[in-house]
Amino acid sequence: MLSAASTIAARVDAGAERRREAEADRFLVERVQAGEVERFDELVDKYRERIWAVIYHMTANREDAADLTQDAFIKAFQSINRFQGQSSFFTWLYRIAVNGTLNHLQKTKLRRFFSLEKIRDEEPVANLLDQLADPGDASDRRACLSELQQKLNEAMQKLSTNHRTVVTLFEIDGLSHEEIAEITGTSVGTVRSRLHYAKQLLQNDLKEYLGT
Amino acid sequence: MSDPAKGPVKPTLDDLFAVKRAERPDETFWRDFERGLRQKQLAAIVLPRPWWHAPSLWARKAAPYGGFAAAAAAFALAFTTLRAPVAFDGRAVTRAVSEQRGAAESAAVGDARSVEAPERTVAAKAVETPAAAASVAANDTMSEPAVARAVPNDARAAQIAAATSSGLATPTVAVAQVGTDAPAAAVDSAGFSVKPVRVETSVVAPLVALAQEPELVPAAADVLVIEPPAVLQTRHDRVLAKALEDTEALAADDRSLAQVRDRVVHRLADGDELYASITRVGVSGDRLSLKF
Repeated sequence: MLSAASTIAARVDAGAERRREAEADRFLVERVQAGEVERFDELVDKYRERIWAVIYHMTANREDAADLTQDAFIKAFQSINRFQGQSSFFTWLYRIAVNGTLNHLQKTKLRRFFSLEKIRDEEPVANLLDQLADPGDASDRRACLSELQQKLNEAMQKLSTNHRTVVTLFEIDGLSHEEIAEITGTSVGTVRSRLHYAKQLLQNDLKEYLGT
Repeated sequence: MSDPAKGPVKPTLDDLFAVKRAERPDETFWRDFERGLRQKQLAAIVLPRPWWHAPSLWARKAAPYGGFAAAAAAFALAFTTLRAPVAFDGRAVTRAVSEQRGAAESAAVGDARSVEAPERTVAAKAVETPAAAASVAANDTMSEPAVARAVPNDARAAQIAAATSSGLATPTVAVAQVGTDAPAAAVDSAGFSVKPVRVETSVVAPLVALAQEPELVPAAADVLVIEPPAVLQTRHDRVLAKALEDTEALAADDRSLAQVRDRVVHRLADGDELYASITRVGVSGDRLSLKF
């Protein structure tokens, strides 16, 4: 119960933060539209990691993710004069990135290669490492973590692109259902349903590695 | 923590998502990313649009000025059609009178004068242009970084442009081409003397002095200097110039990037000439001006 309340509080905070970001983005976009093209670099710096992460988790290939992220920014730059500000800039940019990635996945579905990124030593990962194996054997824990990473990526790639998109945006990037609905051009109900179904599939696929 | 008695604890799906969130690239990756982005940005700007995009773009840009353009065209047509017969009639009358009087020598003198006048005008303009370019370049060193607008076939303006761009922080792109010393020839043939531009500012004086030494730059050198983003007229040109600035350091290592940069420079130079030709038509509020 406490965990659910803290999750809701975190999402409310994230919503307020996003509104502030949207205001800052609108100012930058207006400056770019007015001719200060160098201000677009600030938007690139701000969003490149998030956009890259979304695309990377959808493609499981770091090089493809880099290319698609660059393409998304170039496309956004070329069309920025057509951006009317009816949605927030980040939603618009995410939509460009997600659509580009879906097109790419459609074109390359028969020739897919994984190239996984290194895992940073952060708190959740450290906790997981502690749980995975005997605390005395660090190399064993690392190997176990890499295997889990590999298995999760394989399971993610077995999902359909629509389900993978929703899981990536919600579970990894932390967007709300409404934002995901706006980005993917679907209803909130569809987003919830896809998310539920995708998590069930992942749970089934990874059941021998996961605890209850 | 795992319990030694029970053995290792299996992670949950949320734990695995946390692991996925921790997959992030290092700084080297982002440096390569930045480099790739600049290259793609430049290539995207230079690549020509498909031909079927051209009419819609033209229509969109021309729509607000359609009325003015039509009025200007009608005015220009009316002006030229009304003006030409008058000029023709004048000469015909002069010739008729001179024939009637049988004074062939006076008619020859009149023709020579009428021919000479435009040449002088052209020569004078050709002579004035380097000085104007010099003054523009010199003045701009005080306000905007690395601004120089050099006219082709002019060694002095090239010298000033080179001096200006080398002495300031913001890089200026310059392309050297071989050309002729046409303004000097025009001066000699027309027999005009040119007044030098008087520059009071101490900052600018060394540049002008440098420009007055022709042996520092080959006389046949023809330099096109692209203006920095701050003074370029259109957003597209500013984007190109910004991209040129951003990729200047990268171009030394990357041959394909250097070729793309050359194309951009030439495109900017062409655009500059095009701009110079269309500035004959001016629109200000509800007024339209034409230069003939």
